[in-house]
Amino acid sequence: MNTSEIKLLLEKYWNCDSTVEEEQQLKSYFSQNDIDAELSEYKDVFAVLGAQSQLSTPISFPSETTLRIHELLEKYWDCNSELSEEAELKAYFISGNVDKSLSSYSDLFNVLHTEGNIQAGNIAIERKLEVTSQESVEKAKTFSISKKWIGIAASLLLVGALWFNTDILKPQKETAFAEYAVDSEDEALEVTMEALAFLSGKLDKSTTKIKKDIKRVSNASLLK
Amino acid sequence: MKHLLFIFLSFVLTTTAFSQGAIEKYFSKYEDDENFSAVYVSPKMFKMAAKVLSEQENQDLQDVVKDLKGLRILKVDDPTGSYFKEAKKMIPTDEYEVLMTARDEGQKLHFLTKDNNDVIEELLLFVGGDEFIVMSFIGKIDLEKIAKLAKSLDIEGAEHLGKLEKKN
Repeated sequence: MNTSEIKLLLEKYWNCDSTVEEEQQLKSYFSQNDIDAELSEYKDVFAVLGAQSQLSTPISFPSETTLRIHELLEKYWDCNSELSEEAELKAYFISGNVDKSLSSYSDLFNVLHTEGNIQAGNIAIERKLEVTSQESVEKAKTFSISKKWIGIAASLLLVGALWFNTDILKPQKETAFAEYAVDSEDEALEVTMEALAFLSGKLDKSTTKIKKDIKRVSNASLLK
Repeated sequence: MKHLLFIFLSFVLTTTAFSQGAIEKYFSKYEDDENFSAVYVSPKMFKMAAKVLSEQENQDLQDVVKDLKGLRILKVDDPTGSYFKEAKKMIPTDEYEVLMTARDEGQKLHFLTKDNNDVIEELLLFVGGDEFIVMSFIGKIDLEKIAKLAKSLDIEGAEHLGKLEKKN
């Protein structure tokens, strides 16, 4: 059996179109050692299916869930299962909490989970895409600045902020010329009043001067 | 996150710390110059002074003083005018805007303001002449109110600031 024939059979199998003989063929292909690389993942599926037919009935009384799963499995093999039931099976096996009697199927349903979206005739390509997308996701994840550098950058920023804002480093600036501070509020008032008088006087004089100058200029232009 | 918080805090602290004024920022180097006499009225002093004033009757003065937070005066003999020239250069023009300049009886007057939106935070006065004087008024400066004062205040020797004595 060559690879392309096997692939055809596989597709039939997934569509529940395969006959029992064809399934046997698949089983025997996968039980031998010369399996094509791209089909190797299905080896477990058919190994399991081979094993299934030889299972003996469990000795201990199984739980309700286990019985339910067995029921669903039967439906599945007969291609009678609804999508929701298949989803139930998938969920059960992914959960990891699998009964011993069903353990051999867990790989199968993990495989089927990833196979779920594959379209007929393109198994190899889809698989390759999956691999490459995983790779790029991993690459994206690893591109990050290591914690050490973030810490250093942050510290540098902090130092820079302090450096340029040296006001923080000299909190005592407020007391420059401190010895010249007035001692009493009376003195403060005296000085303030004098200063304000000086200021307002000068302001007044200056504005008057400027007004005079403006007049002089405008008069001059009028004469022209 | 902690680092970001630190940086944010440091910036906030510096920007809210404006109670210094130009003299403290740019002229503190003169503190050790023996030729300088200076006066400093602290914010606390102004609060106390405002209380004393309310017992008096001068409303115009009260109006101005209650909004003042700080006052600094520097005075030095400046026969060559070098201090005046130097001082003018030390004030950054993007921080202090020239309000007015004038000449009056041999004195050169420069009025500068530092404002925040439309409110004047600091009024700086340079007087150049035989004496170099710097006056820095910090607070909420209302020029109209100060102009009013010229009429109500009538202090002798206002032209000479005779009360300024060096305290050492």
